[in-house]
Amino acid sequence: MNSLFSFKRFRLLVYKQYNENRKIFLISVILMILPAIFKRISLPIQNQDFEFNAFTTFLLVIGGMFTTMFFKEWSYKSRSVSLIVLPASALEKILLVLFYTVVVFVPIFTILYFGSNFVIFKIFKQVNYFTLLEQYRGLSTTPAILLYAVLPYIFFQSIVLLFSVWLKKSQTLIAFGFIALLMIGVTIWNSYFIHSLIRVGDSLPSVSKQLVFFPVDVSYWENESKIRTLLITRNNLIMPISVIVLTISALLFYVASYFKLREKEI
Amino acid sequence: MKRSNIIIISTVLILISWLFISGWLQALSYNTHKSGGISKYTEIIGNDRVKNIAMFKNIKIDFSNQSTYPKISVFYSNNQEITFSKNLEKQYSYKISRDTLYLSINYSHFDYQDFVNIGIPRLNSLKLSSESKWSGGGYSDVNHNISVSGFNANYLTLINNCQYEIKLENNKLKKLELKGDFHVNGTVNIANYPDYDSLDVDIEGNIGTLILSKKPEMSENKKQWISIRVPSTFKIEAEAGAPIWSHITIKSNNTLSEIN
Repeated sequence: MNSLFSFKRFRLLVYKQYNENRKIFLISVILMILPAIFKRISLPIQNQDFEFNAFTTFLLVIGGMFTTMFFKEWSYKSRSVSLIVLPASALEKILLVLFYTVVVFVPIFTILYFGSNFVIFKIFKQVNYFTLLEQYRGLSTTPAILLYAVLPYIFFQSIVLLFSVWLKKSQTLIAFGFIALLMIGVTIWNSYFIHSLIRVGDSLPSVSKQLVFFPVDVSYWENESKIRTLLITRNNLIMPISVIVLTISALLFYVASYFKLREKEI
Repeated sequence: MKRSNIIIISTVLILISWLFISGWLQALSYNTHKSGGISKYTEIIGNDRVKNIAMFKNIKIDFSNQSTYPKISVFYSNNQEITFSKNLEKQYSYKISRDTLYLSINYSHFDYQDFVNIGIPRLNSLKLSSESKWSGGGYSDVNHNISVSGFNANYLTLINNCQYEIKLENNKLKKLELKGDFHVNGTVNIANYPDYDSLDVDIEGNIGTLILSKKPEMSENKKQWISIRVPSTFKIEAEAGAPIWSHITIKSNNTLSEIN
């Protein structure tokens, strides 16, 4: 019997997880519908960027919370023993989390989010600015969702998973805090360092680099009296490198999570 | 050092280094574009000019002598602002006097992606005028029309003195007043007309088209009041058997056609 990975064991682990957490899964499904309702009631301004940002943000936040759920037992001494003695290898446990939080969660969330949005548009007969399904920033639907939502999600989720396995307490808080720090750090870097490069006369364009959520685009806002110019650029050299770096980083964070889990078990 | 810690530290270092380096590279590309150069690797995928302006409730748009026009969208929005596509620079001017926006468009450099977006929380009236000799009937492009959408209000007055295609969609109004001469072959398309409790149409011109349409699943508005007064040679398109046909007053030799 293979001690590293067994399909039979993995299948039983998936069933076990489903049977034990059926209620939580059901609540998660309701949670996935709520963003669309909340967004429609409280945030009536829509445009394509806003819609996509909202979709990605909800995907990351709900997906992140969902991921931390799998190792919540670490916080309690008695329950953490049961997690360690579970007859499954560390690899199977990590793959179990990836199965539920990536393979199952992402398609279900996407379908429920767009579906509930569509129904609410129909009910309230609102103007449909939700043109995401046609095209987003020059990309068709599938590449746009993969590049601007799934890739940031996998990157984000790998960090959350690592912290969930690594830490015993406040995993969610620290993981979200680390990601916030990363985003703020990059924004501050852009604000101070890049400003000196793109200074235009006396005016200082404000720069927001969307590298964490949107790894490939940069938006520049120039303030000339009351006019703002938004310039979004896509760099054909930086884009593929960013995609590779973020993908490899996510994979390495997954590997690190595996080793952390193994170290804990030992 | 533990294997996991080595992986974490090296990944974080690579990641942060790349985030910073790519920011610097993006800035270089931006500078290349700013100085009018062409960056080998960078393409601009969005370039809009957004203007924050004083409050207005009425819009008057004047088109000069031009055969085409950019896509113009007047839509409901909590925030009031106007957005012009970059190519429109120097092809428009505007001023706001009291509660009216006066927008002049002199469109000579055509681009398929050109647009004017006007977001406004409340719209009382929209007047479109053209001095053009061109006939609107010869120009048809699905990407270029004038749309008024998303308003849920008491009333709206639309005066169409131009030859272009105007589409009213996804509005729910207690009263819509439609006037104008439609210049040469102007078209107004009122989508989902049962959503207007009161529909008062009074056309003064000679040649033009009024389209009244609704989605097949949409039922008629039983409390709807309709008055349509059209001049001779004017064309009306609507569903066969729709109640609106009995509310049309023909000023003189009028041409009516039914959509089946």
